[in-house]
Amino acid sequence: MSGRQVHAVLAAAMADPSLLNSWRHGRDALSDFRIEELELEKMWRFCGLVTKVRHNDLRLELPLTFRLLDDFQLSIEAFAEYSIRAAALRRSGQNSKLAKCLTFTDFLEGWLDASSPPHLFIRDMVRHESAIMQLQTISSDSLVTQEQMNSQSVTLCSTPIHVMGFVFRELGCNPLAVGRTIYSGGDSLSVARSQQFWGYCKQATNASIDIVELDELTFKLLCVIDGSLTLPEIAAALSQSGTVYAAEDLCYPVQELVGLGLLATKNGV
Amino acid sequence: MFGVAYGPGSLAFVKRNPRILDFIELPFELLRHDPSTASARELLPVVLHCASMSLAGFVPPSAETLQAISKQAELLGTPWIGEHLAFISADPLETGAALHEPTTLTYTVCPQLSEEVVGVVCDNIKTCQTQVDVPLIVENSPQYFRVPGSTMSIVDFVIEVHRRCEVGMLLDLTHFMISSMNAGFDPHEEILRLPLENMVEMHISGLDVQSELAWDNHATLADESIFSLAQTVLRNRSPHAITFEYNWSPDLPDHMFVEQIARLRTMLN
Repeated sequence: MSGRQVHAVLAAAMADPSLLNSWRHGRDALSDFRIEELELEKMWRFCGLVTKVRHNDLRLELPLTFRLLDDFQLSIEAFAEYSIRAAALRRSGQNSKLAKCLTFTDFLEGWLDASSPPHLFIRDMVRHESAIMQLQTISSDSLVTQEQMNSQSVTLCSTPIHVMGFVFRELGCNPLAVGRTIYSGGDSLSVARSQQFWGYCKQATNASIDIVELDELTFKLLCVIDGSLTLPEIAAALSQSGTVYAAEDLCYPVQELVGLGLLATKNGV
Repeated sequence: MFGVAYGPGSLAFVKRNPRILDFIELPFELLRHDPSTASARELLPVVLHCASMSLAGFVPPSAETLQAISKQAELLGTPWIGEHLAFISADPLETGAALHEPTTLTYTVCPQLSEEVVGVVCDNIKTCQTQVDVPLIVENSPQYFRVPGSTMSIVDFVIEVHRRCEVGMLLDLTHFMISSMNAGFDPHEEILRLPLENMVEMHISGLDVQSELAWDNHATLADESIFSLAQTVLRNRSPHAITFEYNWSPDLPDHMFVEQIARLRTMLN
């Protein structure tokens, strides 16, 4: 079997993961090349290693995600499954670090298995680190300072709106505890799991990112607020999901969020 | 001499731990993409590492690439150039439904282990050596899957290359261990069959086992299996240089890396 021909087949498979994948699912095409002995599943996983190495630049943005993928022995499989999308992104020329990050984290959200505890931890780290990454792409110059926010008063007629520089996530663990556990050499699976809500806020003054735990009401408020609803309409929307509050009772929590710079009111009213 | 491969945390480690390392190993491909990385020589002398000559391939690198490698070698003052016993380019596929342009990869692939390819390697080494003014040394590839048409083990392949060519050896311990785990041979017995008198440089990095195969992992520290293999080798021969390939992750713990360097110094003494 000519080495030249064998190398040509291997290189074609490595350069085009979708071609390799088509061979995995139907060996007939390989008969054209008269090469019967290809270990296609091992080659597929090697494709995962190559894709993983190509994404080493994302380790700075997603350190805990990468770490858990390796610790739970999932990185090769994950990157193998991601390799086709990664190759498509490269071919499109939209291969900036941000595009790679967003595409990869979007892939992971869909690929991870919600019934598996290790997968759930990885999903939480993806959400945590992508929130930080998202804020890092926002220029501090475009953010409103807290002093500017503090002057806004909230009434029943107010229409709260989201602000740039603040994102929020529902997670299954404390992401800061996971980070501390990993870097101290502990077992990340030992970190307690429970429904938790976290807010990520980029400061206008010094570009640092504050990470704070939110209570359930605050999270639900933030989810319902869409920039078009007044407080009574927000109360009605919350009631439909089983969280019953009178509109007047929402003034205080919304005012608090406005005071912290995590919300604003439309037209300052 | 002890060195570290260039990576996100390498320069910071060198600055935090002066006088503990003797060189930084720089990849040619990174220099080509980002010439500013050559500033690493302001910290320590540089050794050039390469993955562009496709020494075990049937499609040679362009004259422009060889000229660029030669120029970098001269600019950096490297004592040798480490290159892989692998291929990164191959002929296009011309038969069947898959028609591709000549294929050039960005990751090295273990070649067909055959007499034919040994001959190709020797020819390529001779040609490439005439283009650069410093010695080439060749690095053993890790085996992740069987390459069709292979008629010899990777150990015999390396032995035969060194028997027929006058070329130095870059012994990658982790690649050797990975090959032994994936191909099923005893690493301690087989490594002693190599012509260790040709050894110029040694590479050490981490590995992990996922999906039933061993994989290269430069984001983790070498484990006891690698140090045990190092002991086997160093009892017989000492290289001029040992490079720690810890160049994927920015946050490997300093103290553990420092301990490993000290441990190898003790083995050498």
